[in-house]
Amino acid sequence: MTRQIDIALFTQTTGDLDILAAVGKVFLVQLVPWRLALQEHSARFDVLELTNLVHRMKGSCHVVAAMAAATAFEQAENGLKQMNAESWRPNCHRLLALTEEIEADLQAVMVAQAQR
Amino acid sequence: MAVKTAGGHRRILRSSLDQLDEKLGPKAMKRLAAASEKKTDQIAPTYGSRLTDLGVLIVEDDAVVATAITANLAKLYPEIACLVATDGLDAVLHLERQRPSVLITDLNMTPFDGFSLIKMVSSRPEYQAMSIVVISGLSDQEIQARGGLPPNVLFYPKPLSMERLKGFFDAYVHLHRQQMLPSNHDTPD
Repeated sequence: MTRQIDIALFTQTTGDLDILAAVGKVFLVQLVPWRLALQEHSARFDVLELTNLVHRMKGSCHVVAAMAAATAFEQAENGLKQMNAESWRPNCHRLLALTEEIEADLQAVMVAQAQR
Repeated sequence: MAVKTAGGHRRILRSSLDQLDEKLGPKAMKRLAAASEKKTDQIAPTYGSRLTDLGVLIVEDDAVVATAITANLAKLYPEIACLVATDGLDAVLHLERQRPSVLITDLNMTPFDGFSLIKMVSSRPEYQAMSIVVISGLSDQEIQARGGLPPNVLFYPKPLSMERLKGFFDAYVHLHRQQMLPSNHDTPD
């Protein structure tokens, strides 16, 4: 698993590490409806809904300093209009897998911070 | 805007720096200070009637971004009361009831976006004393294409740097405290 959360960047851009607990908790809660929405909108290939969703996911990734993920969501957002349902499918799978990586890494970071 | 010199070096035009200053730098803060000075003649918000009370309404459909802002403000400025609305319509209800001193709003929201909210707020005299801060990932061109923003609005691009927001609130809280000095208000017995 790659490291998704850049702790040093988080403290520079979002706030102190005690803020991470509050922000991380909301992020993890949001992941569940985001994944469901990503699957639903992808099944219908609803470009407008997908664009809004990946835009919001990108913004949230920036907040928790998951920069590689934020870039992936941004690329997806920018590329959506040129795609069709078929070409979008692998992107959807990739983004879903990415959310799992972020979830695991964020949980690990939050546990480590709580134990300090 | 940058230009390339004959030697291949990039030079940033002074006019571009001035524009940036106008929007984000010291000039923007001076505008904010000037607007705040006028507040004493206008309808006072519900928040702000005491030295320790400052109300901030955050209009943001991304719960993670909203939490980052509220958590930072709660930690750094305990006297600030934060409210969160998830879109412009939700914000209107909060505005009517709470009369916050500062409105921080995203632009891209559904069904009632930040442009509509700012337009509504700007047209109503009871909200003229409120400071408006926009945080958005939209580019200048996209904002202009959607009608632009009024000149008294402070704009911070997304991804939002909390340091910049802290800078704004440092200045704002300082101004608020000065306005709330005992010369204008009842002093405790």
